Amino acid sequence: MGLIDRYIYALIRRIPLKQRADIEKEVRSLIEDMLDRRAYGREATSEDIEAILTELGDPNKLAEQYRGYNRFLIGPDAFDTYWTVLKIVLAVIEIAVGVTFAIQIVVSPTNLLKAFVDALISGVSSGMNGFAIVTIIFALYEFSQRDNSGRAGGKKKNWSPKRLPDIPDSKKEIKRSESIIGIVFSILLMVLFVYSSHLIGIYHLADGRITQVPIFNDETIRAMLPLVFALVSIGILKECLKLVTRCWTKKLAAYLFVINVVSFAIIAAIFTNPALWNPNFLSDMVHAGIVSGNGDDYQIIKTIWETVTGRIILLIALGYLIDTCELFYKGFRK
Amino acid sequence: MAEENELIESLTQELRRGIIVLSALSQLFEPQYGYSLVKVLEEKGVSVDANTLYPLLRRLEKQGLLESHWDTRETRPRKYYQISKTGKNVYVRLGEEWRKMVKSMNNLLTDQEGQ
Repeated sequence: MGLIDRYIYALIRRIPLKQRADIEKEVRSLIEDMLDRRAYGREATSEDIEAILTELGDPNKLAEQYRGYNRFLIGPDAFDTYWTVLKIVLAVIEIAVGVTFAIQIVVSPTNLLKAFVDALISGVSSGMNGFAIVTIIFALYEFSQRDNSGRAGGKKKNWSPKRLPDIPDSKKEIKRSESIIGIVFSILLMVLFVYSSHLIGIYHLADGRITQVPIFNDETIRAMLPLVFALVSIGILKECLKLVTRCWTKKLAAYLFVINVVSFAIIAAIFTNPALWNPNFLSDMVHAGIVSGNGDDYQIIKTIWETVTGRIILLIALGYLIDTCELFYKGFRK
Repeated sequence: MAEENELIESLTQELRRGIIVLSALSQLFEPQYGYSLVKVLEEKGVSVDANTLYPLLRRLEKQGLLESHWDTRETRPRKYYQISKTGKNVYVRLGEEWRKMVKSMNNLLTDQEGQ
């Protein structure tokens, strides 16, 4: 009875664990009944077995009937959205990699080949990461929509005209391009910080060479990478929310406010850490020939540096305050 | 001509799909096991594939319309299904719906026959 066992095995594999024993018993007895009827009075031959298994059909389809739901990773309803989001995310990632590459070759043109290979590699690996994350998110959504009762449509709530979204008021509309630019910017910033934080600094052209004094302390940035990631993810989340909602609402303003609070907290954690700044900034500046060792300009630069690094958090706070006021205004005005 | 036959075949299948549950319920006032139900329905002119009926019986049981028990007395253990109390109520109501539909359909179809 090898064929029957193989059939049962193929069927059972795709049945949820709890129901396997019962369904196996049932289907085996069904097959034997069908065999009896077909080979009435005589020995069942392998042709008989093959014929009734053909009649039963593809075990996958039969398992689907027993399961009562289709096993889509990402079902037909969500797929369009998935595809759109995927395209946006991948485009954004690759643009960010491209821009980093461009900056890299401007700053150190000697290593063109290496920079190109690096860009290619990070392009592929970031692309794959982005693809995986988007796919996983949508797969989880699809899984949550499943209803095991076997009815088509599962957990979908009934649609009613009340659920129709308002026609966007052109004053309150959020342009998609704005949000996409916002996302590109966030990812750019992240790629910059993560891979090339040493590139952020003061550039100086002298004797045909470009020298550079980094503003940040590379080690500290590396240590704070999780915070940077969190910050950027939050920034992207913010833009995604705006993309999805498409126009200003009170709810949107409220969510964005919460997001602002969280992201300000993170940014405060980053920028109030004195180890963030390049400890040798001033001496590097002298080295690079941008300022002379003891002159007035040194004093000026020193004062500026100390003030900025000490107080930039206030500037950032002000920025957030303004942004929050703006979003409350946009969300709540008529 | 063959295409037309195929089309008719598939549209007929769709019609048949609609009546399976009611047909099955009507024959389950007595306990039946899967394959005996297939045969009974076939004899009465409603042929249903075993691979459709079996999972259907399971689903109806899950929805509370049928009850089941395993009969292990004979050499071959068989799962017997029978209509439950809820199932009987549903059956009566469905039957009413069906009769209403038949009446409407007959009206619709006789409209055309006059042409």
